[in-house]
Amino acid sequence: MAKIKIDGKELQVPDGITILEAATIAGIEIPHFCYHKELSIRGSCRMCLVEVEKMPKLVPACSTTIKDEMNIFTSSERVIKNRRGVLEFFLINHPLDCPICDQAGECTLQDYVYKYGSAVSRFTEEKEHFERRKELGPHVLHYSERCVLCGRCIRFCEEISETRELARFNRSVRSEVDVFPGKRLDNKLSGNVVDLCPVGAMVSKEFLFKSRVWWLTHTESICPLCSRGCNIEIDSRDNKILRVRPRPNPEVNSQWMCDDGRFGWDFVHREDRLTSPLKREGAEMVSISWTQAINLVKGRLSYIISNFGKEAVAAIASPYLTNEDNYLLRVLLLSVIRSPSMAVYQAAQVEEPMVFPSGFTIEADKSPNLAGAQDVSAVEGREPISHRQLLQKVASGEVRALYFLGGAPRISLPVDEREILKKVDFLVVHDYAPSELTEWAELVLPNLSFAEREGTFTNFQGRVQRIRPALLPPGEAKPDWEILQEICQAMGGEVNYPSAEKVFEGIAGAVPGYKGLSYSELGNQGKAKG
Amino acid sequence: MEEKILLKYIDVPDIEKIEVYQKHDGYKGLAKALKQHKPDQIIELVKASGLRGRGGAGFPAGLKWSFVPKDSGKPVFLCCNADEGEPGTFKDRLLMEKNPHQLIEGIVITAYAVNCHQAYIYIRGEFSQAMKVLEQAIEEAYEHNCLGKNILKQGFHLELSLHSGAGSYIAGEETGLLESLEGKRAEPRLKPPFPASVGLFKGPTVINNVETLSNVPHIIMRGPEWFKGFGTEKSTGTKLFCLSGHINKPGVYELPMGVPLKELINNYGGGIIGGRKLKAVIPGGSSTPVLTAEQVEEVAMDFESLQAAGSMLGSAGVIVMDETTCMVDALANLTRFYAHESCGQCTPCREGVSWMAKIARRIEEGKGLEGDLELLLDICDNISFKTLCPMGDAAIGPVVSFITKFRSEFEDHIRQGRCPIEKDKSIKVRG
Repeated sequence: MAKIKIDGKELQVPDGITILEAATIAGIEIPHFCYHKELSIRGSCRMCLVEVEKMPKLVPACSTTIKDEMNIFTSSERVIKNRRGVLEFFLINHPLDCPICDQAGECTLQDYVYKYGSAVSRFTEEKEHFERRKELGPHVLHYSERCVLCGRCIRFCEEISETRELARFNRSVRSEVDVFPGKRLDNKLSGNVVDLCPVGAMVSKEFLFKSRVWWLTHTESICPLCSRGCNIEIDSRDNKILRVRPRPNPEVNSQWMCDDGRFGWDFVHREDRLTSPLKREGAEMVSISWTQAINLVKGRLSYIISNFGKEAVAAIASPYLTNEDNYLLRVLLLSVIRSPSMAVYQAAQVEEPMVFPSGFTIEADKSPNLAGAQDVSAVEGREPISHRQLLQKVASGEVRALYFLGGAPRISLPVDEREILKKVDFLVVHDYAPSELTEWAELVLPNLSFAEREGTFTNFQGRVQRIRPALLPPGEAKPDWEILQEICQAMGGEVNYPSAEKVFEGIAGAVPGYKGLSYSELGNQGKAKG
Repeated sequence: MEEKILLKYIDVPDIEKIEVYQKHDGYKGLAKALKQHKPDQIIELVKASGLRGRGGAGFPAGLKWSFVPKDSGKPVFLCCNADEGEPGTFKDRLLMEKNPHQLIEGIVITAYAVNCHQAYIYIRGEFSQAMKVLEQAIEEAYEHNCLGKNILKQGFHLELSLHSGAGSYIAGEETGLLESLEGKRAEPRLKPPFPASVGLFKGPTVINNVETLSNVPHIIMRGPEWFKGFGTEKSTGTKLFCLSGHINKPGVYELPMGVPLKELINNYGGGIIGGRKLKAVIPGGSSTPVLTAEQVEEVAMDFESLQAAGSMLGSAGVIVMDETTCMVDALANLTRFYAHESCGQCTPCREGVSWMAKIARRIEEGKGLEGDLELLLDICDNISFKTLCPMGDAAIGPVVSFITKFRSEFEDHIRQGRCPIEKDKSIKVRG
């Protein structure tokens, strides 16, 4: 430990940390642009210079290591003058187009000028001009004139994605960030440069001009597009998702997320979202009420149980739905109907995991909750069966009624599985939109996408993380656990959870490994199961 | 005529050939170094000689070498900085074109002193003649066992590579040079760590100027005491002075450190062109603060004297300006150079220097505004000692000194809305 003084405040800090880190511990903000804790240190923006007793020059706080007895001043006259100077330098060639800039409202330059800058410009020369907007890749646009040349985007592509598409070209005030000739910024992590950019230089093509950021509602959630479960924030407005960005979680995704997740939520806003229960009548699907739907399930299941036995009813849990949903399916099948035939759907993996040299990985399993679905449907002492084994029981006629939870953003069933589904006497499917599952269902019950619901996913590491509703449900669609609870109740089951949170408490009481967990315990970073 | 060290044999025909060089004591310093001295002794000898870096900063060479860690476990590199790019400086080019073996010998001895087995000459890309000469000389040195394995059969091994620069002023800054040598953009690195501990390819690295290294064989041959017989107490040895500008005999002059500037201009340079009046002199390359004619009367050309006069010896590029020089025009030209050469990575240098260049040019064009001079000086203050590398301070050197020392000329431009100086029209300056 080293004893130091920052702005008169004495404190003990670990040896070897930088002045910037020490200031953070002391609760003192040192403004900076090029420094980012996940990237190498460049010390080039010169915004973080501070004064240290007995050092003649101002020193960069980002790169200067603490020494015992160091006396640091972060807001002396010299330090303040430098900040004003650097901000003035940034602004002289900056287009000051904040009214039409996507970054306005969450712009570091804007915030620092407001805090530390000057209201008057001394610059009377012609500004440098660049091509207004360049397309660097499928998702990222670049406004050179707004760029502060902090180089975070370049270092990200060198150090995190290690794809090296970006560099700085030309010198002096003609410097600009661009892709190397013949390259495109099309790596799977490209969207992260937009988050890293402290100003409106790197912008997302998808979000461009969609909204002022202060109109957005922010909801903490989990990305549903692979089993890593990157922590995300859903930014929405008028019941539409406009942007998804990663939230930092060192245990899961550092500060990053992949472009598949960042831009892959469009399924939530499919035009053909299901808004009411649908019953098959010949070639047609007819809209019915929830009461009719529940009665239909109860009638058909009761008929099959009394004629073919409870073993004739089977269920397939979904790795795309929450633990709470799958848990209620288990309650229905194992506790209310008392049939042993429950499996978890597992899509054939078509991709290899994509491992970046920095360690960030896009998992091959494209479902967010395979581990959780398996956990909540497991029965102690019984070997779990695969959904393909279970479908064989359908094919052989042993199973007559199949309760199938869908919810996959995209699903493509193998031909043999589709053939089997055709043969089921009574197929009930939960899904959010027409799919290969709903094609042969006798009854389709409309569920919710991840963005409209509360619940938990368990990622590939066994980390249990919460998702939260950002949007209102479409029409009469409901969370799966609620639908299943109503069916349980209709069939005489004694379940009555008032909320997803209470269902999770039920899971915590019943499922090994989840003991002691609760929503408040999970917080916004999740918790590893036991 | 004073005794010369570096240019002693400069006019000997074919001195660039190894046989001729050897006949003129060539590679004897190397033989002595390898046979009679341990590496540490070489460092001590050079320390004792007081040899200071000739690239501009004047850092003691032996001390620099002693910073190289002995036990880093990584290969040590030696880089000869031959990216001579400071306007007004053209001495290294002469040394390389005329006496390449003197430099190679210095490199081998220095490499031996710091336990380096791979050395580089990073040479300015425009120096095509020097490159041709050096390539040939390196080849000969290999053939004569002065480079390569088991040098002069003394068991020392050194590879020397010539690397053509990638064409920018900033590649002459030592860490910019290392980046460029690694195949990247010449962008100076944040220090610390200093190159002596983490340099080229992350190995300990010594970077020395051509002139500095060329002195080494002589110091070894004739001893530090002999070397200290030249120059002043703290600025030992001779120095190559590059005379340019409004002077009758521009060129490179080797004289002992401490020669009076006036003597250099009048006795060696043959005085001002056309007998005109002297107005100002930039003593050490374009980045060093300008001296007025009155200062020129008194100042001597060594590190300490020039520092005392508020300037620097720098690379000893002496730019002489007579009364026909418009100081505003000259400053606009100099800042334009620095604005063009800023690597652009750090904010104050990238933005500030270009801004200064635009203002200076505007004043020269008669569009100066009241307050422009204060603004220029304040921009300088916002750059001074705040940039990542020394280039920011190099760029403001002329601005501060021109405005401070020739303020009335700047004010006349602003007040009259035109350039009031009657320039020598025969000299063309690109605007």
